[in-house]
Amino acid sequence: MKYEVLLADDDDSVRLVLSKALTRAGHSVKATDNADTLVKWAAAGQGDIVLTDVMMGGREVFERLPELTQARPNMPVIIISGNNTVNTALKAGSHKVFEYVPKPFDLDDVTAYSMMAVLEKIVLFFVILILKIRL
Amino acid sequence: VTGMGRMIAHELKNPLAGIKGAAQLLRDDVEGEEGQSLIELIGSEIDRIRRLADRMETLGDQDPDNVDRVNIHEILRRAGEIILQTRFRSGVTSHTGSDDTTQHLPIEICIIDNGPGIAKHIASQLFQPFVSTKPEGQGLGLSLVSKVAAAHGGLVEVKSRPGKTKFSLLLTDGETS
Repeated sequence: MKYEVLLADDDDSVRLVLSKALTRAGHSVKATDNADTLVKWAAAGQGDIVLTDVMMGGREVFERLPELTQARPNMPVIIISGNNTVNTALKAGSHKVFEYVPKPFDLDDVTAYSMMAVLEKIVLFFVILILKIRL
Repeated sequence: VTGMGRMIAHELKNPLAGIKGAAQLLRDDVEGEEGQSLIELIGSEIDRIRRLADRMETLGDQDPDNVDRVNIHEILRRAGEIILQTRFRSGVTSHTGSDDTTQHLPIEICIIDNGPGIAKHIASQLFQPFVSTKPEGQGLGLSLVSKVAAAHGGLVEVKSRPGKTKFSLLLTDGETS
């Protein structure tokens, strides 16, 4: 199953390895170093899943999540962060985040979580479809 | 306020993620047992640094919990042979956080030198971590000073020109403002 990942991280090396890993797994990746572009792409209907860092350009991505959720309510969001604190995890919990992955991550974990998030989205789509048909 | 330890740990984790990811990508390309075991070694060593960073994150983030009033002159005498000047400076007030609470900072400890002064390009980031003019410098000293001062409700001020650089540590007198 192939999907498009919107990747946001202001660290060049992190963007490079994640892009390569996801591309090798057969998915397409659009990568940016800022939250503005991420939200712009998502609002334009691009991508199936979001993979994003927390701190970019001195601002927290959580500030932009409501906007992103409003534009794409069913888009799974996976947070990757080096700020390995309870605070970050809790904040992630309050923003309907699919998964929180601490840095330095295992590439296999990131690709597996992405796959699970997309699967959940597809299952949800069919459940809603079946419910609609039955109603 | 983000703690020093947390800040360093965070700064370490981005490059670590890059190295770990790159090593994992190499795993698919490298053939042979020796190559694979060396990649394993990179991975386990990265995990070792991560554990150190995690420890630093918790150790470096402790604000003082046993705050008490002390005689500042006794403390300064322990500083040794440096000539220190202390004085009360009235009217200095610090606004903290998002609320409207203010903190009077009447105690000023000055450290003055007659060196070449602080270079303009570095002046604005003087208290940022990892900023240093020394080739071997880690750039942690002044950011740590600033963190400790802030943890005690104070602040550090700096004025510099060629021939005179003055650092002022402004502290509260311990009275509730």
